[in-house]
Amino acid sequence: MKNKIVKIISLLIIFIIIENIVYAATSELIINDETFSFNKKDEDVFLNFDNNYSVENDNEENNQDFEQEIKELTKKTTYLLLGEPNSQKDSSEEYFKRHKDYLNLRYNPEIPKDPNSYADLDKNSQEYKDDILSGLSVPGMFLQLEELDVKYNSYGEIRISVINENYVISSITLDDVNMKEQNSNSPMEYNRINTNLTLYYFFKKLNGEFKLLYLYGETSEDIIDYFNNNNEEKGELSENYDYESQLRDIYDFSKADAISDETINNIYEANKSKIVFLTSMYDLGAVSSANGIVIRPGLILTTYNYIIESLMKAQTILISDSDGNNYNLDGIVTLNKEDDVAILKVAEQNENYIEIKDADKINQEEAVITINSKTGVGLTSSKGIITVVNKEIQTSLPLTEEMQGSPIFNSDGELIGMLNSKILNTGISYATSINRIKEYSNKLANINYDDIKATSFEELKENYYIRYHDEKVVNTIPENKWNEYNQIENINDYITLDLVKGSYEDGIISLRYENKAEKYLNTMDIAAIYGANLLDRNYVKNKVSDNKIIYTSENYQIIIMSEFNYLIVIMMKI
Amino acid sequence: MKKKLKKFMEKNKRLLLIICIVILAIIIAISLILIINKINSNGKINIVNQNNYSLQYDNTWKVKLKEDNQITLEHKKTKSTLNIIIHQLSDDEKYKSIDELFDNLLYNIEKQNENYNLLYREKTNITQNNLEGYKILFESENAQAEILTYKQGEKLIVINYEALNEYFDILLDSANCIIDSFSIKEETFDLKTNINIDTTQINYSEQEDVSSMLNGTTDYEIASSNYFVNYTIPSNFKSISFDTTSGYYEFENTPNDGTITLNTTILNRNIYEYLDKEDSPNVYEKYNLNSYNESKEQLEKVSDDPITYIYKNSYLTFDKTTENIVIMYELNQNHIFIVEISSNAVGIPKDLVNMIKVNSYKNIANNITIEKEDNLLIGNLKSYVGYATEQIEEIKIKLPEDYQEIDKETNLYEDRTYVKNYNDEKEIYNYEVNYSIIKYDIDSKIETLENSINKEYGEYTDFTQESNKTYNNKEFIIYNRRYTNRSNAKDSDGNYYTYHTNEKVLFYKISDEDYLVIEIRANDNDVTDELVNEVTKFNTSLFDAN
Repeated sequence: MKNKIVKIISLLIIFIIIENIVYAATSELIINDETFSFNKKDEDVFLNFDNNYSVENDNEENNQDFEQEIKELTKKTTYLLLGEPNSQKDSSEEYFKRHKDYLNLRYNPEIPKDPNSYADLDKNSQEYKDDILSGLSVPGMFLQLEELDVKYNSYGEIRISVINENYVISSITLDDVNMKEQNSNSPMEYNRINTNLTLYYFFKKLNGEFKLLYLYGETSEDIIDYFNNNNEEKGELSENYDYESQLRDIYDFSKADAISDETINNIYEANKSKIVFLTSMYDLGAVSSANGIVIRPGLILTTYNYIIESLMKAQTILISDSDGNNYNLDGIVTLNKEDDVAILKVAEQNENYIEIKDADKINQEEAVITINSKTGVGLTSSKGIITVVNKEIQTSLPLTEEMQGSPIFNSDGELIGMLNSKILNTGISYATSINRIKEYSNKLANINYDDIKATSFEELKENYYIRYHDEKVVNTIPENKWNEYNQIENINDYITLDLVKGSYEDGIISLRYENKAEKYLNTMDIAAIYGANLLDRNYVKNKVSDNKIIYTSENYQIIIMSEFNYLIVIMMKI
Repeated sequence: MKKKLKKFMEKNKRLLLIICIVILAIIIAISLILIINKINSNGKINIVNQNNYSLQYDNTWKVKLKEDNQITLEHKKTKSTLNIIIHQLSDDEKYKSIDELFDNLLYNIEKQNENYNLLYREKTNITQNNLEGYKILFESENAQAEILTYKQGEKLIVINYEALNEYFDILLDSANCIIDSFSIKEETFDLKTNINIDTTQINYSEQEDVSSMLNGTTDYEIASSNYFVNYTIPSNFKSISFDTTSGYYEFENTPNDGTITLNTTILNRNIYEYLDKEDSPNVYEKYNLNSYNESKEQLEKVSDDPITYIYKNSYLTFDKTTENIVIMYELNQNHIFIVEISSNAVGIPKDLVNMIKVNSYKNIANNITIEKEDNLLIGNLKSYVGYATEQIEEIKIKLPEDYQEIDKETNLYEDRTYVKNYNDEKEIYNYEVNYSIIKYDIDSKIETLENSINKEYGEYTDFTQESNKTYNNKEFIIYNRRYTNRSNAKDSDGNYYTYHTNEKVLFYKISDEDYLVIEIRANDNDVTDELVNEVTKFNTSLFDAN
């Protein structure tokens, strides 16, 4: 007896140990610190390109602290204007405090507020101009934005342009905000729209502290509306009218206004065959597009951002120009994230290319002209001015995604940069300067076309971008149990999807079906017929959410859920 | 051995029986307790409340690891795991979008877990904050893992639910409940939110003779600054002018030869800023109390919902008391409805103030209401004749339905504008008609119009008077202005203004003192007789004010 008991107990212990060991042996998904390094993929992708073609990034000792200070100041100003992200309305006291603090942030030089006393001041002095500028927009903007009732989720991307140590411009783009717009059909009412909102702040240092000198805002809706007037025609140049920008209050646009139609036409004629249109395709549908510049026979310059996005979303890239010529993409020669540059090699060596050389007139308030294609059919021109010159050129040209990669010219028709994707759907844009582009073209200057190495798009995509696998079909439901449950509720007759997984544990059957036609058929709708059958059999329905319904009867409970494109059915006895 | 045991049992039969019963009772009790616990604990929800996050889970799970930035739950029975990591993004990363971060995250996960296969990924909305995030499904030899990731503020949240194949779907719902309950606590900026305003209970004047006159209330409405308010005041107050944007009233038959006036208005201002003496405009600055004798002021907070303050001041002018009471109702954070009562030679009693109420208010885009009669658009103008309040003139404008009224934030009883035929290409209406009542002479009106022409629209002749004409049985004095030449101004597109505007102004005498003015502007068209006929179908009526 004693021995038997000992045997039973020891068997029990061994069984428990084994069960735990077996479970420990099934591995767990690893997510650790290493998972959160966000450069690894880029580094791996870049390893494919010939080192000789890559251009060193400056890694100048960016004054990190200073940039951080301005970023925090930008966030704070946004908070003072709009309240907290994701928030309910604050109380009147909080609102009052916020408004007061915002006005205290205003640039307020030692000029008396009484407009009569301006009479003695030099109207051409910078202090006078700054005070007028600040008085124009800063106080009123608070109430304007309040009226629009902007709701936003989080602080978005912040960009900083340092003009000099006393003057900084920063912009913050809030993605997908919800705000009011008057309903033009029904004037008594408001619409609420979802759009991106970009706020531009101009800070000037006063007594050691940065103060808000000027600000304005703009929505991506405005930009998209502005660009919707599409009248590109094959073989013709259409002209974009000037974007009505509040930048005219701050900068002198006379040089841009003075550009004649003739100048633009000359630039068009000289360059129309040197600008290409790129379209990324997935399954016969276009997923994104951009412009590109032919910088050498067989080499096209476009933006890094566009190529990366294409690798993520598309299967191929089609390249064409406004003369109707098509180019076959051989591969990618080099990519650079900092400069937003991508150089592509194409099979056709176009005789027409824009020579990359030194250019003049890259100064603030100089005129810039861009010629690009919005649709791939014809070309459109726009003009504006340079607003800031740092490592990159900032211009007053509005920019959307399709226009990244376009060339910008000075009034003499010289190429001075390429519009890049640093900021999209706004009324200002950044361009990679010709000085940087020169570095790339210099690296490739002495290499013959045939010797230039390029990695194919397909190869990059296969190694670094998503590959889906087929799920293993596993059905471990014992037949008798399956017959028992199926007989009662006839699920086989009502759900016509493929069964991917089935299991029976602890009296619960779980079934997973795959809905391959998810784009056209809603997964829960497919289960609706089965649900109707259950109702006929006196089950009580409880709709918990759009994706979960529970049916209960005296003896059974059946839960129907959807997740990804699966229909999951759980059946249990109660 | 057996014999000894038998003997022992025989000897202690009773004792053994008692022991057996006791053991049985204990077993039954323990079982009952366990069963009751199981029933109770099956629905029990546990709460985790850390410094920077919180979540809830049911009793089938237990906490395996709990730290400031990570929590791991394990399902008791099946050993499935739910792991949540809050990763603080570095300066380079915190302003990137979730799309950019996710691409790299997925790459790293795949590289670190080569024995897992990617089945699905989708972009989705994360319930609690409606943030966008990504969900992915991985499969290994015998288990599946679902990963959810989203960005909130400067943090990246990664949630991983993993279970053996046979349990994954069964526990999915429970795991989703836990995930739905998870939320991180945001840091906020540290700004104080209190403001200091001294308040006290207001001393109202005892004024029996005024109190005894109060005998009922009347409702009125005003609309301006995108707000509409319906309010009640004592009926003793009569309108001294008709205005859709503000109210002006005077108390009838005030004793002591005194006056009590009441004004209502909607102000686009925050109530605390309006009450702040260091801010401008504020409620105090209009009165300039320092320049008077025996001036006093008090401020009382009367209600929290809606926030209502009453300000009162009083002072002596030529031995007569002047009192001012301002009632401020907060409509929203930057709109206040104000009732201002001013009296001279009498006091304002509390009864009077208590009869003033706000009935309703709403946030509107504009305050035009569309009225139609017999397929004609109707609009009303209304005014006292001249500057006295003895006679009222009313004009009922009738226009064809294809006209549309546009709001210009003006007093709609005095001034209305209608437009017709929008020209898409030139972005202007072909016809504009404005109706208004003037109380001064025609010459002054013409002079005002001369000076207000927008020269950008072209070069024009001066207004010249034509001979009088009759339309719809009414005689009009007529002035004309014609376009002569294009101006050199360009529009924002850089084009010259290519339309030309012709203008006709008609004056119709409503009463001895007042004229109805109809200004007609035709852009790129002429002002034809037909058009004038169309816009002169109004009716006028004159009656005594009671």
